[in-house]
Amino acid sequence: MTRSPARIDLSDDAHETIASKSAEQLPLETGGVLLGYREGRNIVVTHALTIDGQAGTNRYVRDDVRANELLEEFLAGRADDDPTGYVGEWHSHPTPSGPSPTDVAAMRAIARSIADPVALLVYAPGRTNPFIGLITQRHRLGRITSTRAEVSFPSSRFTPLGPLPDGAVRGDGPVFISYRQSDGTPHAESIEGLLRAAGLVVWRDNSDLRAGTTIDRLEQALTKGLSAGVLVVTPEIVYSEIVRERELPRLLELDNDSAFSLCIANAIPRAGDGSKCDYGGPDRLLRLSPARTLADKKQSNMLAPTGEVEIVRDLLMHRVEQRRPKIREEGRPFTIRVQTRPTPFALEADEDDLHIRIRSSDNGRLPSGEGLENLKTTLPLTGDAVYASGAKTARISGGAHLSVALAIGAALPETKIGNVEVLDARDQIWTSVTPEDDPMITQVHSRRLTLAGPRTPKVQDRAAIFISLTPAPDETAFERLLHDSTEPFATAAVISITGSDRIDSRESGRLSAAIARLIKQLAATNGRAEVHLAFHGPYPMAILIGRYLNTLRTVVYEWENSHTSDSLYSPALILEPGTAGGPITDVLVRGGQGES
Amino acid sequence: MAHLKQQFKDALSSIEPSDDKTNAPEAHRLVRDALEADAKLTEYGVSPVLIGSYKRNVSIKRIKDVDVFVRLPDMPSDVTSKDILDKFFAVLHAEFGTDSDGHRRTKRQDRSLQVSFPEYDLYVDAVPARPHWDGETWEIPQKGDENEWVRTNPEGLTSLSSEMNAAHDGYYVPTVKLLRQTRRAQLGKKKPGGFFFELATYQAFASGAVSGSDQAEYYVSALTKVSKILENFVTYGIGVNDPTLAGATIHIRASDEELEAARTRFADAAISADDALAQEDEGKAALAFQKLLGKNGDDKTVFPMPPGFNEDGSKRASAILAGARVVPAGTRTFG
Repeated sequence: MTRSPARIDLSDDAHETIASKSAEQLPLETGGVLLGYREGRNIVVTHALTIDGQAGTNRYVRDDVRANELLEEFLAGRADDDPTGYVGEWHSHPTPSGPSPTDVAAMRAIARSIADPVALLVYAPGRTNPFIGLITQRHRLGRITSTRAEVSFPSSRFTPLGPLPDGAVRGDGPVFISYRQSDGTPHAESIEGLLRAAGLVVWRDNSDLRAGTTIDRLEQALTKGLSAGVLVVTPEIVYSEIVRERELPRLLELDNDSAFSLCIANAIPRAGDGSKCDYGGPDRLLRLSPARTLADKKQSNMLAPTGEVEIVRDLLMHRVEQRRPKIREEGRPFTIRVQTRPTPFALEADEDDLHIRIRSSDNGRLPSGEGLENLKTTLPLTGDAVYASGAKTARISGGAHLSVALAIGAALPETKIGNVEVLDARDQIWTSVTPEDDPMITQVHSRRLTLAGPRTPKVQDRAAIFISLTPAPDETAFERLLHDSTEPFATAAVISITGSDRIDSRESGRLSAAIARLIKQLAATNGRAEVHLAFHGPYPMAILIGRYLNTLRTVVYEWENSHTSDSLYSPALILEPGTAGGPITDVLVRGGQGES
Repeated sequence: MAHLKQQFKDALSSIEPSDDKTNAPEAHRLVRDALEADAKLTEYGVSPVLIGSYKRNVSIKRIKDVDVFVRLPDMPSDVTSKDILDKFFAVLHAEFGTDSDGHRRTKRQDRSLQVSFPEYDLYVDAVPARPHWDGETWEIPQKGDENEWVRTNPEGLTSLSSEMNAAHDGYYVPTVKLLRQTRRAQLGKKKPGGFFFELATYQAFASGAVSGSDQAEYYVSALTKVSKILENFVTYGIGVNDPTLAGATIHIRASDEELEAARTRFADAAISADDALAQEDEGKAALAFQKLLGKNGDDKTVFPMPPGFNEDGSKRASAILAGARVVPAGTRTFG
């Protein structure tokens, strides 16, 4: 009768330690000691300790002094009757190979100094069974044997994933962000803010995970219609079972569909050059190595300032590619829904081509400074995306702060996008093209204001303009703007309307062009002055006027109604659509926590 | 006698909150910051402090609720409990808004406002409190709609807990955790809740009837005494003391069926624990403790089997040989 080989039983805890530490250190070896007890012929490993030592790609030296320190620390927390103690050694092999002659020699040397059998575990990722076990034992007369041992460990607590259901990929669905909370949250938040500002709907656990078991809810989110995924890879992702066992396999399955786009946001620095990322890192930390599953995909370097923008551009263009055939076929406008006030979330994924959202403000009436910074980064991309869609018309709906409306208009200039339509809350269309049925009731009127104060040569540069498109405008806040300004203005004017109480949407094309003309004239008479623009009027008009600001440098103000003082105009943005990186070149609202 | 020392240690580490330990203070900070930023509440001298099982270190995995006790020492006496709960709602709702389903994250409760943190899967309960006339204790709203207040002293409980723990060589806090875990395993979401069992455990310790020389003895002794306190509460209506307010007993909301079920389950649990401790067979004892303590918030069995036993409690034939207490001397090179 042949005796079955002795077994090394590995606990879940020991298995996780060895697998994650090995993944973390690849392509170098790592290792440590095995703790547990012997049960008959078998060795039960309850814990694995990692011992820092000298490590290379084919060598690992385990230091006994450090090992004893860590073992002593471990034993201090154990009960006095606990049998757990040193039972062997473990180390990793970066290539899928078993114990080497050096390994066997090391174990024989250990066996000489210890009476009981000792285990060696080699962890070699890439093999079907990555653990190879050896039990070395000293016999009578000093004879030492090393025999292969079976290695057993508990199966994963995650049940296998079922097949991907139909409809799991949806061109207009949200973008899923997968990350490790402990060190990936800042990257995930930053990417989320930019994607939302660019017009993509995002699924994020913190706002979109419903009550219930996390794993079930995640599975629903991953299978009910996503357009793209961003996998944020940070050093601690090696410890994320959820990303490794659930999110990653699903994202890879989804990525097999050409309508899906998977972006890898790599934040693993390359050894020796912290500004470049290690393209092998994602496979290694997610235990896919030595396969190059993620290394062979495009990765964006999160350690460089352009990394996030690259992801936003890729996903925006992916969205346009998905939509372009339909837009062309139907000859329909490119639709953008805008919202700058409520907190955004994933339910918004709908029929619109883009859905621009910025972070909700901490500060009452003003838009969020952080949100505007995001918009500053993404608006040039959005303008390109609309252009690339080939649509003749861009149709905007929703609602926004007026400074944002002017900026969106400036991102869709008449020189680039033929026509812009704005759908108001009553479903009226305001368009930049003057229709034949323009009732011609409303006219534009401009009035110069007399300015007090000394004139210096520099004041030639600044013109303050108040556009008030409601009858009997309240000019108090604008007067405060003039009065409180630290630098004087060369000229100030009010552009208002006459002839009607309310602008008819059919007049919007003619009126927006006329108002833009007046603004440009006022700027020109003062040597192409910087325009300081306070706007009071319908939101569609702000978008349509914004389209004509391309030759100007405009400081856009936002009306701020404070509880403690009178209302005033605060500078929000600087628009310079003609320059690189425009239309927003500066954000003047203070951002971040506790905006004031 | 099966004392299973290491298994009790492992059970305690299995119910120890993990990520919540960092998320809970963060969620608390966000709520505190929102309240402290309000001008009116600042006028009332707003001074929030963390209380509850989390603060007393007796919470178990997973922490779902964090309690913030919001002291308002300068609040005028004409502000009713409804007024202040309304004010809290206004401040917290303005700060935390709605979740992705459009549901408000801030929910009114009888005596507090609950703010949900979906990203951490936990809730913060903000309880407004005004000073009691004695100048030492506090009053919190009793019901939201009427101006009723009830006296309380949650900070007192925090210090009493630490004192009791010190007096029992550090066994009080882990015993409370094990009792709370037993309650969770035996009663699930049914009332009475963990707070009742914590105070019953405190009373049991305070009576001098709980003792032991290791965790198993403490657990069994406390469980036996707590089951008696529960029996007296259910059968004879003898209240459980609030140790922070002389002469006061705590109020709980549990139906008669729930109380009867709790009484029976705990009476059985006490017998079963006592038998397990007396049991010579460690496997049988471990199986009994395993049943009493159930599974943790990660769905893992809290009480492990000792070495050499199968999961059904039966002993394997092989003998156990302990691992070495030292790593053999000498550096070792592997390749």
